[in-house]
Amino acid sequence: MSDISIYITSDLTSSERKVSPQWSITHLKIRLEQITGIAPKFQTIHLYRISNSNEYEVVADSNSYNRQADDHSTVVALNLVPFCRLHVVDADPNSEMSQLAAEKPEFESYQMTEEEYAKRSNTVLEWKSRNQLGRFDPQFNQEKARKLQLEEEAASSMKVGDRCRVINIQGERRGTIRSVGKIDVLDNGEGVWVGVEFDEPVGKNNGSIGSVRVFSCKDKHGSFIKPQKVEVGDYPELDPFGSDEEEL
Amino acid sequence: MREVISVNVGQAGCQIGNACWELYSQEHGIRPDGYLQEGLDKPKGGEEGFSTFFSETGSGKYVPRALYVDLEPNVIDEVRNGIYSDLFHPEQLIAGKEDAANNYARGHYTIGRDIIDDVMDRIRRMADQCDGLQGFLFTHSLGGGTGSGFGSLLLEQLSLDFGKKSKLEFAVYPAPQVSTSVVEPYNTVLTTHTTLEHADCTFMVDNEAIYDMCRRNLDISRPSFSSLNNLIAQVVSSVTASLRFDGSLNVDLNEFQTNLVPYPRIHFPLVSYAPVFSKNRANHESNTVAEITASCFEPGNQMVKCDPRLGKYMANCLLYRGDVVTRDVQNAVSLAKSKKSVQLVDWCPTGFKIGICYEPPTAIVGSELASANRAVCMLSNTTAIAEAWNRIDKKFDLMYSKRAFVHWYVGEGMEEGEFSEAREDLAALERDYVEVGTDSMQVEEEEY
Repeated sequence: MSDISIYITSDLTSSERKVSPQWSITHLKIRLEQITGIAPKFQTIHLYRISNSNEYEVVADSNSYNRQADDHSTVVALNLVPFCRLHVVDADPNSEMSQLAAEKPEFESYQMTEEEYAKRSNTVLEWKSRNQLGRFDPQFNQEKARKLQLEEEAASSMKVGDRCRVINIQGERRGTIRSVGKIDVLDNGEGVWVGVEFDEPVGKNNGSIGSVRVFSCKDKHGSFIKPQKVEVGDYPELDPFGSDEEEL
Repeated sequence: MREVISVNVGQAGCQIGNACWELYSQEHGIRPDGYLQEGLDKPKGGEEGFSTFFSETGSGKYVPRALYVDLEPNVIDEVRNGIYSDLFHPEQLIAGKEDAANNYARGHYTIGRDIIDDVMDRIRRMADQCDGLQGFLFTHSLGGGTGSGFGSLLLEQLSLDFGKKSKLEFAVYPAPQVSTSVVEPYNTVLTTHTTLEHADCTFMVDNEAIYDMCRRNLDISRPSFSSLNNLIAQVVSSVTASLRFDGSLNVDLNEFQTNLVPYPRIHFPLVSYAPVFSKNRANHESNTVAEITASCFEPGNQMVKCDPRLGKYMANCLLYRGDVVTRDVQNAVSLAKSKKSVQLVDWCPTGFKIGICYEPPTAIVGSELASANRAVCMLSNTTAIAEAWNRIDKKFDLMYSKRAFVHWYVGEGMEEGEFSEAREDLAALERDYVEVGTDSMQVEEEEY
């Protein structure tokens, strides 16, 4: 008899595999262990004749595990049909599998630190530094410095409490400046940012970036914006209904 | 001539190989027995391109330049007994007796060592028949025992024996949600570490992404391996089309590397393909160049689940095939480039390369995928693919922190130190991707 394609599943795995009807049950269980990680004596096997139905029969029970009996019967006895599903349940509460299944989602995986990374050879970092790419390019830093200078110039005329407006593709927003300066959590303190409290809830935050509070305002009223995008001047609060009435 | 030898390793590799060679044969007008289809006096696609993938025997029969290797006989027996059995020379199909039991160590050390010399001999003999061998095209899975263990052993050997010849891989990457076996994360990390310096360019395919594509776009409720593999074959075919067909802007195997890989370790381009729709829907889709190009930027058309909008592009190749006009392509590409979600690494030269092969795609008989008069395959080297490494590294750590199943590997003579060495290398790879994404001059956001 030729091999049959079936699905093999467990709580942590799912795959399509070929099984041979001539195999002994012992051999099948060894195969299942290699796939699911569940040892033969702890395998309780559910056979779903229709792979995606809920009806199954128990074709092996770990409570009545008997190696001799498994040696002497073959997969033929299970009457497998193509694309049926064998689901393997782990009866061992102390097994590696049970422990893995119980693992918490907040598990922290290993991240290489910057120092460890810098010590290695054959890395992108080494390549960039050797070929003067990115921040290792002298021009890159000149350009960065020039940008910072422009931002500082723009911000030099702004102070906390100034009225201002911000115009972008969505239109004009008005508000009051609440902070001017560098913000480490945003860009490692590279650029200058202007904190604005808008008159309307048209901002991105409440004056905080993550857990770092820069100033305080109502939610959705605060934003941090590049100085060149902020205009300071006599921009009083707009009457939200004013323009509508004019049109009427 | 510029020959390419395909090497299919392990169950997944061999089955994808089957789907690919079935498709190649149909595209070039070759019957399952290796002779030309009725009414043809030469293979379709032009002599030169065709001969990169097929050799000709004295009797007018054509034979794939391909090798199948598996450590157990099951899958190879199917090729031997299948309808394409006459297409291959028995020498091209190598099967061992004992399988790798999903264990990298068995594939790489114990069982694999017994068969490697034989396999290398056959590859050398195939290479001897070539005038100007370009390189190798590998298909294997990263999670299985043979694919990961033996696949990496073979790549190492090819590096030793064939030096600078290109080695491209199509690798089945573990699905994010469910593993095919409990030790899949170990196998994937170990094989990635071993092959990192031997493969020139690796195209990853995650079964879950393909599975979802089959369900969503092809209306297959429970896709089997053969549905998945037919779709993968279509993608592999569009990547290799420019090598196999004359007249297209002819790409050499090493051009993939030249165009896509700025730094050797960063060699895992994300593959997207369009259009993917079923025969039932074929009549309702218009399938213009603009549309299929835009589709390539949709996560639903990607072969690996990740979010390119969060990453930066280092390089991009768009390989069109079929009824395509250059002007339409140029328009579609400039539109794509202008998107805010398409961010390029700006400290090294990046660009969009375009390839056009005027031969349209062919639908595999019995496949649910509708035939289309044009298609596009996008290969993009984006930092977003680091998500995939992050995912598998985390799964690895979860198990390795408990040393779960490590004894299976140690029992095959592997040293535990190889686990931590491999994991370190992958951690460095993740860092490499971060490093690629930093130092941008563009202001990404102007408001926070």
